[in-house]
Amino acid sequence: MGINLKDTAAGLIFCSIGAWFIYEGAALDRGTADRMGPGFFPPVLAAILIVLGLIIIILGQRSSDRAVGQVSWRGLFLTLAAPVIFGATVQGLGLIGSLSLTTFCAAMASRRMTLLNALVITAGLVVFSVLLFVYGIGLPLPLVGSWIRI
Amino acid sequence: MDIIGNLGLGFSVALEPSRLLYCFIGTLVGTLIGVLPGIGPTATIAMLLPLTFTLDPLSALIMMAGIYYGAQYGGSTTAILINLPGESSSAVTAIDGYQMARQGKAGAALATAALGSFFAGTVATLIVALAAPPLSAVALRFGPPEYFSLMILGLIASVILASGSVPKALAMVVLGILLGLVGMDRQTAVSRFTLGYYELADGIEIISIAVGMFGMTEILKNLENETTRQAMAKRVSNLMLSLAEIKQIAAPVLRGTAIGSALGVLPGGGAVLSSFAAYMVEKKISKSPERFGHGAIEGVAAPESANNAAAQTSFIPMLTLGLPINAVSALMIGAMIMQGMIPGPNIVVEQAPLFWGIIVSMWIGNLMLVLLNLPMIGLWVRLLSVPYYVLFPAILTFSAVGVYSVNANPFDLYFIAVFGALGYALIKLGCEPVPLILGFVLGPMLEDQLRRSMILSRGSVMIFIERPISLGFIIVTLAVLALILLPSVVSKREQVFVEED
Repeated sequence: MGINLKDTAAGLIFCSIGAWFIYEGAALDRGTADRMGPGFFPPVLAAILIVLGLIIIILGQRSSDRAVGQVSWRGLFLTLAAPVIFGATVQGLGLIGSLSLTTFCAAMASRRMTLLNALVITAGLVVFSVLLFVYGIGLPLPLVGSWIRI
Repeated sequence: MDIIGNLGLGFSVALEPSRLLYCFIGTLVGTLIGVLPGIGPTATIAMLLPLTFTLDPLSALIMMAGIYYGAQYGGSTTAILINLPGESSSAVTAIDGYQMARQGKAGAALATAALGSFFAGTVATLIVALAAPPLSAVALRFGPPEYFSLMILGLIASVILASGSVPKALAMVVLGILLGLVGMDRQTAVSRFTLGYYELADGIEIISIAVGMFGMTEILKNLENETTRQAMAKRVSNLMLSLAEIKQIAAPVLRGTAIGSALGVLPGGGAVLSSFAAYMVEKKISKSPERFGHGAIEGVAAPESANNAAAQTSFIPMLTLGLPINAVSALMIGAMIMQGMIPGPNIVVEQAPLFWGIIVSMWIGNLMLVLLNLPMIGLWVRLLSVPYYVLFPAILTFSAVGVYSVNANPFDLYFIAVFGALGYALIKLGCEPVPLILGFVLGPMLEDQLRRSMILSRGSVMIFIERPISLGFIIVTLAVLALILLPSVVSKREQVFVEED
């Protein structure tokens, strides 16, 4: 058996995050044992995280559980893009425009979705959300954003 | 005993029309997502978390609790009717429940599940009401060293009782604590690990982590392999139990309630473990164990009572100690903190209306669930045909608006994508996100109590073993750790979780 990529990758993620916390924490004041500074606890934890990462890598080489399973790249990309689109455009486009883009993007993440269905779902959800959030709950969100207003 | 007075106080706040409405919404949403396979209570509560900030604290907590135990109810419907557990805690129910349905006894199975759950919910709620005040009185005398040791015990135990590899789960806890420490240090006001972003000065928002790690990842998992659900809209009739059947389920319901109430308080154990344990006990003590797997009514009654009892008692550590033992209670503690409350033993005394209101609302919610589930069963069955690709854009949209509404800060939304990507990568590599959220919520408290302990002891770590209560927690922690390193336990543990899947 070769290298267990699954556990090696997991271990390396933990090790690198731990290393980053140690690097960033080095500049913080450690204080003393009876007066711990902000730089005392985090580096200790980060060191434990690195050790655990190494244990995961070492134990993983003996494990036969290496399957990662399939990934829907289209779903991954579109689903993660949806909140970013909303965050980037909600002030500029306003709730109606921004939500239309967000919902459409999220709807298209499924392989089983057709263009027509996605448009219908988007329209329905935008109307429902505006009624619920703006008129129902009363969230102070602009319906039309600053980029569109003249 | 002023328990009656306290419960009266609880009823007076929980019966306010708006509270009843949120309790109803919570149980309704819980049933809905419990019925629908593919979306669980944790993801739902994570997604709805931001919206709860528009409510008062009690309404928010009532609704979140309702979603959680409502999902335990709803999950059994799907398990019985289409042999697909809507929730992981209903996986065992599917074994005998589905067989009963095939024999034309779906009505009896559903009635058993609903009535068993209601009985268990009532008893367990009473246990919470009786046990919480004395427990919190004890906890009030805890000093920083006791709290620190208790938190370590809670974290370690939750890791071990949860499924998956132990080193990976421990690493997730530690990562969670580190992420919890990002932001301004509470004692010295020094900025830590913020990469210079002022948006991170208050720390990473729990909503970003919750929505990213639980909501997004659950959607992504479902998108991996999209299959059509068989929506077999069966007609369910005869939702009554005969006297003989009631006699048959009485003892299993009682045993299931006892097992669930006890296991529910264990960190990480909760509903899944208890339904499994209750089923095994019934099979073991039954005079005719060969009926199990072929439609034994006890095989529905016991696990369904157990998982619902556990769902109620799992709130005890959260309400009395401020300690989360599963993802749902971690999110509820996050909500309490964001509402400006300090979770801990003080809640029982200082926030008496809130505390008793939650407990009473749990019972009211259980009553609502019986009314929701039995007469409206046909509606829930039809809901199974709602395609997933309609459901999840709606969830995503609501949570995006909800997250933005909390701080009006686009940063929180970008972080959802960051944690969604990180969480999904870690899940694909076999690391479950639940320990991470526990660590995240407890991280700042852990550091705080450690610092205070060290001030008390003038820098000596011996304080944790010199104080008797703290020593007790440490010994239990070490015992639990030693236990899982035993080879026989390792293999047993793997077996249990394989059967659960």
